[in-house]
Amino acid sequence: MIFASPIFLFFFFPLTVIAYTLVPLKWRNALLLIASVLFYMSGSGPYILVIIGLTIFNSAITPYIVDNRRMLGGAIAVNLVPLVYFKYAGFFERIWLDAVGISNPKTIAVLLPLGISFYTFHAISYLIDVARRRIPVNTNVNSYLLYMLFFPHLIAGPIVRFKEISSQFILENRRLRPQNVSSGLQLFILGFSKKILIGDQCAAIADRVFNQQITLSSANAWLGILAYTMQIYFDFSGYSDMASGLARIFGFRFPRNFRRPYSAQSITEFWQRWHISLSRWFRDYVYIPLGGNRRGQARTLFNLWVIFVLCGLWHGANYTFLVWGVGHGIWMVVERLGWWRPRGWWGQLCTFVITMLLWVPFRAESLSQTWQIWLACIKWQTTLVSVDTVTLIDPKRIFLLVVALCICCMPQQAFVQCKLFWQQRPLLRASALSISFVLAILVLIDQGFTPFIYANF
Amino acid sequence: MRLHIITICLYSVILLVCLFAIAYVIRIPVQHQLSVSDIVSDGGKTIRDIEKNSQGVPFRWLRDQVTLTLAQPTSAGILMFDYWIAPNRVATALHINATTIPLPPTGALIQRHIALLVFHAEELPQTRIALQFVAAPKEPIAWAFIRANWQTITPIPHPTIWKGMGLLWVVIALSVQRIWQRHWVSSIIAGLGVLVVGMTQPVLANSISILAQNPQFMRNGIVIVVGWLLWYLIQPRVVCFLTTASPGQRLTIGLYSILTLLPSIGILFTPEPTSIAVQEQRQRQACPTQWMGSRWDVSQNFTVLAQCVSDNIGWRSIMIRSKNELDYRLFGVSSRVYFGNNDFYFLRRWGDERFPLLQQITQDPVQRNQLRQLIQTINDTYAVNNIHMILVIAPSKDILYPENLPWYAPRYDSQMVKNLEAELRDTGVDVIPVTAILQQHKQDVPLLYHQRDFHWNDMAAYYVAQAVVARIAYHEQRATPWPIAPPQYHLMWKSATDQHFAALLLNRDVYPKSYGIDARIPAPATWNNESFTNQNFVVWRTPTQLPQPALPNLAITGDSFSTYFRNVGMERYFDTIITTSGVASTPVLLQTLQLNGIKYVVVQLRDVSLPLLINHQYEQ
Repeated sequence: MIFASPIFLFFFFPLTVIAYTLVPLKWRNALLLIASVLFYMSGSGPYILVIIGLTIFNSAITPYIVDNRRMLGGAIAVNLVPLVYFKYAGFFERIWLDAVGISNPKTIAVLLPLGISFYTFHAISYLIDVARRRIPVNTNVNSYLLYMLFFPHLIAGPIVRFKEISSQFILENRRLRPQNVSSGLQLFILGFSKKILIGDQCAAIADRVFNQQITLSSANAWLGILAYTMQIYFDFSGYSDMASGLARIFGFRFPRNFRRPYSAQSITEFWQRWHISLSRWFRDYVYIPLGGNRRGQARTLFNLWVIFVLCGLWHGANYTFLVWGVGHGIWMVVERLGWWRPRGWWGQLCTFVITMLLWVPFRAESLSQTWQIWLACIKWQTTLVSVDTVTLIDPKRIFLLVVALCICCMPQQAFVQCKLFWQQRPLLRASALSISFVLAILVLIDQGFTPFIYANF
Repeated sequence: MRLHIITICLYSVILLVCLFAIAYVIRIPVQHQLSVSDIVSDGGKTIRDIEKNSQGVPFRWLRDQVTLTLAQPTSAGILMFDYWIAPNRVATALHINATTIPLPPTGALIQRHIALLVFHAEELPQTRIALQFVAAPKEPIAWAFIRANWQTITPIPHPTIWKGMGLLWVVIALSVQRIWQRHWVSSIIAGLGVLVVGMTQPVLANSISILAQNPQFMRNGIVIVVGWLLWYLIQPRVVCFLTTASPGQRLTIGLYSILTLLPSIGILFTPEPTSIAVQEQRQRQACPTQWMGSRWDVSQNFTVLAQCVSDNIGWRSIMIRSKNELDYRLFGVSSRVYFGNNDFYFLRRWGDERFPLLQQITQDPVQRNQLRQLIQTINDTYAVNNIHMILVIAPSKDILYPENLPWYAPRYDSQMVKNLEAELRDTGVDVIPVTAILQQHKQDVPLLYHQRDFHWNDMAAYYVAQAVVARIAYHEQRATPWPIAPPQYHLMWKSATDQHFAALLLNRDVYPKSYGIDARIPAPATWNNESFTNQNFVVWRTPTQLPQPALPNLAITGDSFSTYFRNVGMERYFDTIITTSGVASTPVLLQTLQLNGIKYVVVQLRDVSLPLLINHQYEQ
């Protein structure tokens, strides 16, 4: 089940909220747990056993890992087993077959459980925090189960730490309040509108280019990349907003996952704004334990590069994600060395273009397709504009693409003023969001729902 | 207290506006058919008894002036009827109510079909449509009535709205009682509701009997009662919750709740009438009735359920139509069609997806050769069975009328298909140069394709049929010019497929400007459905002597384009014509063709279907 599907919008979510208001206070966590299990089983069925198994194992092991690095390592390794098996077994096998020169190999094909990358990271962060005494050992299995299974963050994050929401498991801290419900709904509607009204519309352009349904002329290639750049932002940030909004309705507060990433003036800044919960996870649980920036410049650069390679692989078991991660890693190293320091609008433009070009391997099916698209962009390969270019640019798509670009690349000051304007007018904001909700529902019913990009990871 | 009254009034006004908006948008279509037996008198004078023509169709002679009466009160509708004019009479025009419609010249005793949009300025207890043929010379017997179909598109009658309003007032009254414990306020409102219901439905027993006899109404009533009870249970908490909320917060929560609950409640109510259902070129997902797969296959079963909910959500068609209307009003676009110039619609899927594939095939020697070999194989299979294949590749409207495409639609060169036809001809396939023929006749008639439908019209089919008959006559070494005079074409109302796909909110797919060309030439016998080897075919067999010696029996395999050949007099050259869908020369088809002594087969394809043929996904 995805948030943007009619069955979630019109049945699952309203029924959960109604039941949540009707049941006595002490049963509310149990209700959320049951709803979360149903939510997960609707998409991944028996794979719920994996996550429940990990949760039981972690609950049992946590008393023994405090200040015990060996036990902690073992526990992390156990947590990584399902991820490695389901996500990377086929990839590693393919690397091996490529290395020994076997062409057209039959690799292991395993269905990926939904959200496995996210809940594995949740579990690992909990173990490490307990081991380092950042949080006490949790004796309430229900709270831990709910932390792992809570449906708003289960499929595609944001990656929340136990410490951040542990106090919110106490029901007295989480009564239904109008301000929470209202702001949660507004955030949810905002995310839903971002996904349906802009993300999915941009996807219509991007898919035609990346699914090779159109001639790969230079104009088509650039349009496709630009559309995908907008699609992935509005899709993923829309999802994050919906998740945070849902959580807020039930009284939880999730950390922010995006801060206008395309307004960044460098790749370093981009990663401080894009998928913040993941960057933070890698920083705290991989980069700093590797030595961070305390062991000299060479080691710092190496650590940075390693982080981005891992980040690429975390997104998907494919060479293309590896190229995407390595590309970002190299650029971070270049910026850290001071070889590239543009600032202001020029910096923003350069960063935007680099990010766009690096989304190509992220979206492409293979490295060869990545290469073809890059060539089409920079070599003016065959023609600048092909006969079918017009099919990408009907008035509505162009309008939405321009709107998306304006939202993403608006100067910070203008953005703040705009935000202030809406904050000071709650009635107008509520009305505007209601209109956008109606429009998004109309589009959803007409065009159907598409899965979130990050639900595949 | 004042605030409460203002709120209630506001609530009622909003409800009233919503109900009138719904009444404006939703129209109840009713189908009627008037047959000859329904007309027992013509303005008080019975003219003749019911007679039967040579094909056994009953008809009745009527005077110049007659009034058709329908029991259903209607304000607008589509009238379709079949008639012919008496011998020695010339009908020049038709008066319908106060409107005069010029009629094209037609011969006596030739059956005509006419479709008209009829509007009434006011609503009458019965619908009366006064028809008057302007004919000469003036004689009592003027025209023969066969049948009339009448589809009303009447808005919901006002009493229904008032009944709905009254019931809602009762519900509001009960809610007021529950929320504020104001007995007298709730009593007044409930009293008003009962009064309104009573005024619109004077006899209460009638209402009860209607309820008892209408299971859908009963089900809807149960849904309302259950919904209200649920609301009754949770509303104190909701009210308590909302009292601490600011106006902005109340607005957000209230609007979100309404917008979310409406479609989910709608799914429980009666399905939408077929008249507003949007055509999507796909089957809607039915709800699962049993568990599929193993007990662990939760996600598989859930996916079907989710798709079912998505396909059957309440007011789905209206929502799709609204979205299409917004797209059309704001941007002039649709996700399904291109809105072109001169009222033309073009299927977007073809322009965006099929033509690029076709272009790719025609530009790639390997794929082009593959396609050629595929057609060659079909040709050879027929040839082995002593059947001569004639290939007809119907061009799309995009090729014939590129000047009507909007600026953002791709344009493809007609030479692409012409070259393919030439190549096939070089390899020995008998190909009719359809694109060239239609381009040649493009200026001869106003239209060769329906403006809001992707099919060609009868005139295009006529020119192609003419070429096919001439080709067969050539092979038979017979000089057979097309002896029938060109069909008389005239503009008429046309139900448009592309318009159904685009499905705007306000025009309800009944668009008076959406004309087609009707060029029907009466056939001496009818086309019948016959079944051979468990497959259905549409067959024409001549019962009478043809105007000249018949050409060998003919089969036509193709898609909806080839059904137009039935309208244009092609059967006048053959003893037997068999038409069926599909393109492959299957053993079943070959057996049927041999059973019926078929010597020639016309294989009709569409240019946009060629990519499907090469991928073995040819659709009907």
